This record gives sequence, C-alpha cells and structure tokens, in this order.
Amino acid sequence: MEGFVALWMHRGGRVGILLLALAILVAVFAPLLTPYGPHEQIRGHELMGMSWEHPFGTDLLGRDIYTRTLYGARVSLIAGSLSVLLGAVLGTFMGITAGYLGSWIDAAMMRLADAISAFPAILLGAAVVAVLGPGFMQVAIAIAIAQSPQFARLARAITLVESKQEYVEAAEAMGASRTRVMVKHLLPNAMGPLVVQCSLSVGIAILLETGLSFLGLGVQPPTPSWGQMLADALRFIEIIPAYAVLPGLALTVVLVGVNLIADAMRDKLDPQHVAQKGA
Amino acid sequence: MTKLSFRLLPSLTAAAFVAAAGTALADNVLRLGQTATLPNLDPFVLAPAYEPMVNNVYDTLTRYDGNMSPEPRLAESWEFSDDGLTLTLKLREGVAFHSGKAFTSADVRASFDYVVNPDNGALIRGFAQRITALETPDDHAVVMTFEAPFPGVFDLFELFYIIDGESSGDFGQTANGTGPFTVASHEPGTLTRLDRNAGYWNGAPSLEAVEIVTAPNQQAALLSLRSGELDLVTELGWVDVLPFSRDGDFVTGSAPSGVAHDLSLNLKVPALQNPKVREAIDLALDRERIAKLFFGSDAKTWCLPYHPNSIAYFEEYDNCEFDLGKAKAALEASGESLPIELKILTSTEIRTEYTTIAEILQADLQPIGINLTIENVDAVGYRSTYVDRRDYEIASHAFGRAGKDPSALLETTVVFRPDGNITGYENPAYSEAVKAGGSTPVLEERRAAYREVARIFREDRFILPIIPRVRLFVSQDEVSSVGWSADGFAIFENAEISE
Repeated sequence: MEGFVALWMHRGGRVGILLLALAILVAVFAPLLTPYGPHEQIRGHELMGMSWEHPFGTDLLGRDIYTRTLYGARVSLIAGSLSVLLGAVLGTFMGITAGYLGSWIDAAMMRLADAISAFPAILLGAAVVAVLGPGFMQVAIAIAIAQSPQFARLARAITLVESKQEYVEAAEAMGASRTRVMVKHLLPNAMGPLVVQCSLSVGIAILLETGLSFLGLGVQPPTPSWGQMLADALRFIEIIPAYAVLPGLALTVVLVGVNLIADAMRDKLDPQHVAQKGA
Repeated sequence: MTKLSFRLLPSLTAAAFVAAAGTALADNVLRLGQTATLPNLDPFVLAPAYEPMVNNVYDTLTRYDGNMSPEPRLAESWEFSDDGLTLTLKLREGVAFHSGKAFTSADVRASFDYVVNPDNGALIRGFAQRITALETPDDHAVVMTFEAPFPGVFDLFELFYIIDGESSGDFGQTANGTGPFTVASHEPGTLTRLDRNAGYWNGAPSLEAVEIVTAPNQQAALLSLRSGELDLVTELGWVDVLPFSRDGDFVTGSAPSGVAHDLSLNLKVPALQNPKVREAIDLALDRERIAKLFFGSDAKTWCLPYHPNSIAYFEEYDNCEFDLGKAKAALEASGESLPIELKILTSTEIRTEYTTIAEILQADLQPIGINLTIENVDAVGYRSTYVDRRDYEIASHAFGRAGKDPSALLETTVVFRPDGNITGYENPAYSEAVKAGGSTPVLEERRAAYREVARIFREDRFILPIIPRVRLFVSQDEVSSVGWSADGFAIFENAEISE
C-alpha cells in the first residue's frame, strides 16, 4: 500500500495508474460496455463505416471493431503481464544461480543470456513461436524467453554484491543450504530492482505481443488482439480508415500508462536511480 | 515445426520495393506484380507463381476459347478415330523455338516423356498417363492412343506445354519454348523479364516486354499499382479491388480461375461418419455470404463442383441451402451427443479466405451444437497434415481443374478421385460412375454417369463445394487486351499499352 501511495504521489505515476486502470477496467467489464460479442458476426453489417450502431465500423465478417478492441485489451494485458512474470522467474533463477554458485555455472548461464540477447526480441519471439506453434501461451513463452536475459543480468549483479554481505555469510555459517540462502536471503534483497525491471518490461512485452500478433504468430482467430486487428486494417484502410485508429489508440494508451508507472517506480524504488537523482 | 506468414517484414520492405520497381507504361513494358515467388521456369509445376509465365513462354497443342471449345495452337487440326481410342494431330509447320530450332513432333514426344517421368514431378503426370502410346509418324504428325475414350484430352492439352526435345530439362534459369515471349532474365524472388518473340508464329506481340515482379505482399503490390510502378495485379479479393473500381485511372475485371473452395470432411472421424452430421454442416454453410464477402454480389455459389454449363451439372442436384434450423434438426436426428467437438484445418498463409471460411462456419455451427476449433497452420504444415498424413477433421481447401471436363476433375484431384480419396470416402457406385463418365465419348452416356455422380455428391456430402474463385484483377487504364486461359493464366500475346 505504501508503494502505491508513493506512486500516486508521483505526478507521472498518477497519470499512468489512471490510464492502466482504465485499460484494466475496460478489459474486465468489456461485456458491459458493448452490446455485441467479440466473435459476433452481424450479417449485412460487413465492412461498415463509422455509425451510431458501430462507432468504429465493422470488419469483413461484420464484427464490431469497437467491441473487438475492448476484448483485445484482455489479450494484450494478460500476455504482457504473464510473459513478464515468466521471464522474471526464469531470468531471476538464472541470475541468482549464476551469481551465487559462480564457476562454470555462472559462465554457462551468462553465455546463454548473451546468446538470447544477441537476437532482436521480435526475431527471437518469431523463432520460438515457429517452433512451438502460434497461440496465446506460445507467444507468452516466446516473450518470456526474449526478456529473461535482462532479469538474469540484474539478478546476478545484485547477487554478486549481496553474497558478500555479512547476513549471507552468517546464514552460511549457520549451515543454511545454498538453496535456502538463494531463496530466503538473496531473492528478497533483489526484489526491489526486479520489480522496477518488471514494470519497465511490461510495456515492451505488450508491444512484442502486438508485433507477433501482427505477423500472424499470436493468438489465433477468432480471438481478437490489437496486433491482429492492425494487420487486418492494412487491407481495409482505404475503405474503413477508422479500422486502425481504435486498436492503435488503445495500444498507445496502455503503453503510455505502463511506461509512466515504470518511470515513477524507478524514481521511487530503484536505489541507484534515487541516488543519481539526489546527486 | 510450424511457421506462419510473416506480415511485418514484407510490410517494412514495401517502400523499398516501390522504390526499386521501374517506371511502368513509358517503355511499352507491362509490369505484373505478384506475391508468389517464381523459383524456376518449369512449365509443369503449375503453382500460382508460374501462372503469368507459362502461357507466354510456352505453347500448347490446343487452347480453349471462351466457349470452352479447343482452338488450334501448335496442333493445326486433329481427328479422333471412330472408336475414340486414337487421336491424330497435325502439327503446325514453320514454328520455331526461341533458340531458333524448328518445332517437330519429336518435341511433343519429348514433352510427353518428360511429363510422365515420375522424377520430374509434373502435376499433370497422372492425367497424361491416360495416353498409352504416342507415335510420331512424321515431323508434323502425332498419333495418341488411349486405353478407353478420353474426353478430357483437351483439358490435358491446356496444361501440356511443349518443351524443346533437345533441352536438358533444367528450367532453373532458362526456358526454350515456342511462346510469344522469350526469357530475357530470371532472378527468383525479384524479377523475371520476358522479351517479345519477334519470330512468333502467330505474329509478334505488341508489347516489347513483360516483367513479372515479385512483390513483398499484396498491399505493397497495390501500392505500386497506385503509384504507377506496376501495370497489373491479379488474384485480388473484392475488397482489394473496390477502391480501384471508383478510380478512373484503373480498370478492374475478372477472369476464370479454375479453382473453387470446398470443405473436405474426413470420414475417418467418427462424428463425420454420421451422414446427418455432414448434412448439418452442409446446411450451416452460408455459401452466399462467403461468395459475397470474397468476390462481391455477383459471385456464384456451388453445391456441385461444376459450372452450370458443364455436362456434369444437373440443376436438380444444385440444391444446397443455408438453414440453421434444418441444420440443428439434422444434428439432433444424428443421435450424436451434443455438442460435437471438431477441428477445422486452415492456412492463412496459403489463402486468407481459407481462414475466413473457417471463422464463418465456426460462428454458424456453434449455436446448433458443433464447437469448431480453428487450426491455422503454415503452408508446409497444411500440406503435411492434409495431403501427406491426412490427419485433419475438416479442412478448408480449394481444388483446381474446376470448370473443365468433369473427367479431369473427378479422376485426378485428391478431393474427388475415387481411389485414395483424401476424405477416406469409398463407394463402388461412385468409382463406377466416375469411370463410366470419363471413358465414353457418347454425350448421353456421359450425362447418365455424371447424373449418378451428382446424386452421390449430394447424398453422401464428403466434399462440400462452396464457391468458384474468380480471378479479380486491377490494371492501369492504358493496359488492354490481356487474355486469360481457361485456368485464368494471363496471356499477353495480344496485350497492348496505349500511349
């Protein structure tokens, strides 16, 4: 609660929270905000322009674009959060293990992270989906893998510092196992910067999911996603210019919100950043 | 391993593509944009990428006119024996290959040998094997013998391109045909340039050259057309054509395509073995809506896999309807426990329409008690699942050879042929009727056999034809007289670009 209050007191954080809250509310209460279903095909309403009935028109199958944009928020938000969570778990495990155990494990883990980082995230994501097949979970896993090196490097750096601290040596002297030291002592002390990293990564993850869906590698029809809608809009943009507007606008709102929150969190929680600002 | 179409990368390269394309119209060179890559100049692959090339570089013995009557090309005349088992062709004299070598009956023989050789993978091989012997009594005569009368022989000729008998059969970079254009250069994935054949037997074409340009995607091609960098783009959907139809600088039109959409129902799936379930799917298939969405309000729907002018068409069996009430009743009468869970195989990479059909069907089947899951895979995955493993339940598919002689369609396509049918359908009565229809030249006998085939189609519903594809195209208004074969392959022999 303290953290939330601190974010709320930050001007940018407040705006970010409001924008993200709006997106979450829209995603959760989508059925209450539209009379149509996301898959509902209305015969005779195909490729309609803007009207009172369909404020942003309809697609080729007569589905309301406004409705599909609302439901598309679910895919973007869940995929963004889930993939960051998975990436954070994977990367943190790699980083803490590498930093604490050292030796060849450190070298192997970090070279693996380097190898993953060597590829542009969208390309790596596409490659992973090419192996696993398209779909929601596959995309989340692909993004998680692409993001894991950032968490691994951060967790390793913190572990290298913290493992020299007296409380860690004390725990080791008392016979704590390596696993216990890593989970009970090192992980809690790495949480602050890792949470900041999570907030920074969510925006990138949402953008990656949109990119992969745009390429046809994300969630599959008929489930709506913003990337898929933007790809479809390419074909119909001359007939229904508004087709691309709403999913694009929704994506912008969410990304601005998430990034404002991330900036605010970094201002408030990241000790290095706070120290730099203080100096 | 599954890989879906990459849409972003082509989009990012679209601008570069537009910039790279030359200036159209000014130099009497017609530039055609297509998204499919033309890997080589083999006339017997017959994949979509080859379609603008084949009839311009190579010639055939005969070609169908607009009324589907064969007209002379390299064969000047022909005559069937009374029993229909022998066809004698008199070849045109004074025809030369692009290399300058004279065309003779030995080249027809060599082309036939090439096609029937399994190592060459010619798509028409099975069909060509209906010719049991091919003799060349002199340089300008060919005698073909069949085991049984072969009424579809002109369908075969339509795709039977004559190659140089002395060529190595390597079509990687060069091609030596007798067609109206010669291959000037071929860069796979970029551009193929065909220059006017000044010595063409039917008169030199008006165009100086044709360039087949590989576009990164359909949108990039249309953008280039609008900017004047391309002159012609084909294989479009109705919505792609719509903005151009309102613009006086462009001409829009349609050509036959020889391809039709269908749903293939795998009869190895327990639920689909139930005729009532198949009937319910047929009744829930909104053909008119699909036709209108893809090709506009004038588009036709098909319950039988033939045009109404086909000898195999019978109006009384062209009786499918879209009625969800009846579909639900049929499903309830099936005795199956509801809802039925089924999967539909599709590939947006092959055709976006496959997936659109799947989405429409999914929405219509769900309320009546069939939950349809869409499996959208890449082109390789589709082929492997549908053709090689036959591990599908329902497939959104398209078949070729639509609109030609029914014997070609029924005997050679995987969805209709009686032996080894892709749906697992087996019915001796069907096999017999297909064989009978394709083995006699007597029209009444053929009609009787095909009536039985039509009856079986509508009764057993293992393949559900949906709509014939229409080849919609847009060109600059200066372009005229582009011809189209019965399969919808572009012919530039008489095409012109006005000043």
